[in-house]
Amino acid sequence: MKQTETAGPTGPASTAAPPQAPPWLPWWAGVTAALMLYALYQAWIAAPTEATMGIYQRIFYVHVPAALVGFGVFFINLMASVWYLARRSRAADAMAVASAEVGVALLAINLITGPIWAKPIWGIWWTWDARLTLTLVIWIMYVSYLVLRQFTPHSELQPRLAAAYAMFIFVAVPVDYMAIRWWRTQHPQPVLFGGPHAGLAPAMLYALCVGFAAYIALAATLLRLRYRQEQLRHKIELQRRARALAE
Amino acid sequence: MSTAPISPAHSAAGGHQLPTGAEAPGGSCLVECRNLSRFFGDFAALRRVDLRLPAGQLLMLLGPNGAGKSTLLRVLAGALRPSSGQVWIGGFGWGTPEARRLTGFLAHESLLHPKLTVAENLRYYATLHGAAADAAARSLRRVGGEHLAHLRVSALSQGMRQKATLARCLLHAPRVLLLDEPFASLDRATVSDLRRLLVELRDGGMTMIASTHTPEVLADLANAELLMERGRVRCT
Amino acid sequence: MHMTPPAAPPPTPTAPASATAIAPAGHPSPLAIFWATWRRDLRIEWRERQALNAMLFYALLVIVIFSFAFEAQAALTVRVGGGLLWVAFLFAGLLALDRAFARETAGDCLTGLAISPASRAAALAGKFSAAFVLMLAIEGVILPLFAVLFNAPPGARWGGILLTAVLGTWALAATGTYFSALGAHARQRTLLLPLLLLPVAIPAVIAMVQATQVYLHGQGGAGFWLQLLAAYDAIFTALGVLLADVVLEVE
Repeated sequence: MKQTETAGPTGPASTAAPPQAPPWLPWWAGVTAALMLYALYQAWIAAPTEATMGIYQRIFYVHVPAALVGFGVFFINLMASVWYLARRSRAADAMAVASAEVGVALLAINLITGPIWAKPIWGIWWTWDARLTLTLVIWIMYVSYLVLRQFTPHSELQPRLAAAYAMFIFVAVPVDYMAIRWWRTQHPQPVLFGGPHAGLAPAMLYALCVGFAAYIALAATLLRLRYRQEQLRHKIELQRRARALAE
Repeated sequence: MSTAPISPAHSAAGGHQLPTGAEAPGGSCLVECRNLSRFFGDFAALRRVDLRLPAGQLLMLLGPNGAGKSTLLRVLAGALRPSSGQVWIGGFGWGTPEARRLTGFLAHESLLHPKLTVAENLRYYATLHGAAADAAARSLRRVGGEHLAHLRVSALSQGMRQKATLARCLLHAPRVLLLDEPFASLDRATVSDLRRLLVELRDGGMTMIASTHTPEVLADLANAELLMERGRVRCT
Repeated sequence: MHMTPPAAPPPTPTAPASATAIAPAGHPSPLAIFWATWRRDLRIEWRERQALNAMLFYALLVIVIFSFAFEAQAALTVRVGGGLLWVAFLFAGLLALDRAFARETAGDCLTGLAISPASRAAALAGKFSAAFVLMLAIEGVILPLFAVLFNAPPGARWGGILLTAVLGTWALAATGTYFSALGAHARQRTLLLPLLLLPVAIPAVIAMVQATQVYLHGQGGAGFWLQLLAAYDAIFTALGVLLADVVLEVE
């Protein structure tokens, strides 16, 4: 165990300028908003109506990007957690908080839009199909991760315990995948169509790409804002400590 | 009372040069901390405490409630992590197994499980510390508590419990003994028993830091004293 | 007070005999720590039998309530018996797992572990194995009750069910003990444990329910599910041991 030299109220962190919002952030947020609107325009109006599913298929332009970008953000959480355990870096922990929250929000969009689409198309709100189940399980595990953070005090303790739990989530996902696939193959499955990518019209593909771009931009904006907020919170804590020392 | 071995908070480490990094020279300083602070949230329980304690000294830690005495002892014992600053026990950095092996800690709580007998508790701790199989029995004999071995901790009186706790602190033969209010709520006979034991330990070369609210009980045993106030070392 | 210990090192010239009467500590052996922790935890649990009794009674209640909630018939047992059995195991098991660190609050014994140089992994493994034994004991009471109250089919293969119980309980105990340690410093420890454990336990729950179902049915093979459980046990026990230092680190 190494001596704790850094993170002290006398360390360089407290004398440095507080983390400024980068000047490009408002621009970036504006581009994100525009992209989101354009993606909605593409999904609702520009893309052609699908032949068999009708307008219900349009939810797909939100549903799929939210899921894939959400998983990508969870992967960032994993990397940040590993980094925290290796280096005890508060920046890594700030990124872990941000990515867990953004990922939970994105997967929630996915999990809500899914049943809305499934009801008219499949005739059921939900099915315990392997992909759905795994998505739900990962979402649940990250909600637990956030609850754990809520219940542990803001100190060295919280990032450490959260990172440890993130490791368990990471290892649990492939095991879950195995279990759920085998579990589902033993049960009757609803008849699915031949996959959405089977012969996607160019206009539809374009709308989907715009959707991806919008959600990537949204995730990046939210991550940046939340990351900075968490850094500032830590900063305030250090300054309060510095003042407590000076008293 | 001998010369105070503690360097005041603002003076640089006198005597010899300390290398940077986790390893401090063993030298004669058994307990050393530099610029040690500990926070609970925003609250500073310890503020830049500097301390150097040579081997064989008994340091008396004084100060009002909330002065940081218990926090200092808990950090030195390795039960709390320093928020910043450095600690060495016998030249080993804070939290290293070597530093833990050198330290015995008598805390507010006994750290003995009430449902187990004294002997069972001590044997468990002997295993945790890698002490010899008979260390528990010998340590109990050392504090004059052989008759307690087969009593459950929940059945012990305050005085008996404190003896059993001291046996726990001594069973791995530490070089440094940290005592948090060792005489709190003890009767006269037990206090004099414990005092006798502390004298023996001190004369045997044990380095000790004891916090207390009743300096008169410890004053004649201590070689040095340290007054703490609001997380700071006030005077030595 | 004066004695001549056989194993004591030669006393230093300045120190009186009594000061060196206690042999200096050697290196703590992980295996010894594992067994000592195991024995100690089970001994405490045995002495605090009220908690053990309450857990057993709770398990009995779960089974009885299930038999009201679901009409207990042989046909139903064949269909969902595995699920009912494991939900009962899980509920009772959560109490046993919470005890793993709730036990340490008395006398602040967790600090005793924290200030020792002992291997955290060995201590955690000892706690895990104590929780494992405790949960198996509770399940030993639930299982016959279940068989009687839910009219288990005559063709059920009990050997397979027992094997599943051992592997499944191992899975719950391994992750559960770890999360019990994780929550030891948190607020609402008792509430936190199921929130942490249940999501991570999902693959194990699927596997043990499916395997139990196969064995209750008396036909088909559960080889895959047992393999999955064994893999889960190995992976998560190893992970817990690897991360023991992180979770039992000093605050």
